[in-house]
Amino acid sequence: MSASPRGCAHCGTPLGPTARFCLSCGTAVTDGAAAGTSRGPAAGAPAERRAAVPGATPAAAPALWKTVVVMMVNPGAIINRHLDQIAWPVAFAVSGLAFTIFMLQAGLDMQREGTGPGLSIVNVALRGLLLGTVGVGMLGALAWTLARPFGGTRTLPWTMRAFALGYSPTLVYAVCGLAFNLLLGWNTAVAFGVTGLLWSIGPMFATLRETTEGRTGVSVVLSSICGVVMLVGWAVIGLGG
Amino acid sequence: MTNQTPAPPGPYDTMLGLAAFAVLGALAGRALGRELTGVLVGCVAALAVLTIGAWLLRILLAAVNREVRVQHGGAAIGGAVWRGFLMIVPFAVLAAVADLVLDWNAVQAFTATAIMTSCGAAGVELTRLGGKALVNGLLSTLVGMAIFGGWMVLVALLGSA
Repeated sequence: MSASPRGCAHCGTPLGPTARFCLSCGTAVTDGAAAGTSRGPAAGAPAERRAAVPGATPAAAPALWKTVVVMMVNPGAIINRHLDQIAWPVAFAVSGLAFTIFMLQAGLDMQREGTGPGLSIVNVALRGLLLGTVGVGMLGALAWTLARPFGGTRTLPWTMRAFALGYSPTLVYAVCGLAFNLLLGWNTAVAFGVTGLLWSIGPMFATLRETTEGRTGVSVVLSSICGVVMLVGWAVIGLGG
Repeated sequence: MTNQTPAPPGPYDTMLGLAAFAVLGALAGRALGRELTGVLVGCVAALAVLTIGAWLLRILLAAVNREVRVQHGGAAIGGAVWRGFLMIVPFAVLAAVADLVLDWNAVQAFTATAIMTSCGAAGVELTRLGGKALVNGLLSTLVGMAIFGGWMVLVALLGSA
């Protein structure tokens, strides 16, 4: 008797026996989630995990663009219901791309105005990529460590993934800003870039509230700490001081 | 959806939200050029704007969330609003660091995002209590824009006075 073929619970794409996430849609593969090949709600998704989250209902992860947009307006919905289904490469691609485009704008602005520490645009963009992947991962690890004393049950990978996906607003603002920067020649790093970075505080707060078992006061303090670390990190690493 | 009745807003929620916005007001007043007077006037103006804004947001959200009022009581609306305004705290801290440590002059960007995010958080909180997501989202965004608009006008008037 042979085992039934594995397929993505979200899009139905056939998966290899050791696949951890779907290469087609980015949905994370968990035990049982990939058992079926039918498209639709993740039948075997980690229901016991979601059942432990208030307000959570089993549902397939929305398309990536929808996830990014919903993270802007209601991050709690994605974090509570769909984060388990979003693979870490997808989450870190969002933050990496967001910071790369954001820093690209900063580089373009500085070159146009003849200001800044004299770094090339590619150098500045690569610093953004570093900040958006390694930096965001380290920030998530810091937040997880700081949240431990408050009894959260979320794991380190979960927190890091949530932090990375939390930069969805930054990505949306960065893409819009880059369009204005290239098409109209505007300086957009502050107007779009910093604004997008600030919008990520909302998802960060929602993640921390989840990580600290709903403690609003603690989440406010931790959001402030993480926000300052990212702001200073951006100023020092990204812009070279 | 979580439908447990939340705790009413504690005095610390309200005070923290107001204090955080007062910090943003002080930074905006400082940016006007007149150090001590600007800071004091900015603080007072911020407290006035946020108090009026919170009142306006509470009245309007209460009007469209009848089910929430019936199920959880009127205090739930005020609680959601002031818990949402707690979101101003991280922005105030960031603005202070950006202004005083990094010497950036971008306090209005921080203020705009703080207001919009905190109003949105109040709307999301009420949606979690059983309110309509679209109505709460739209209304809280519109009120956030109105509060920030009022704040910008006030800062411009203070700057020209």
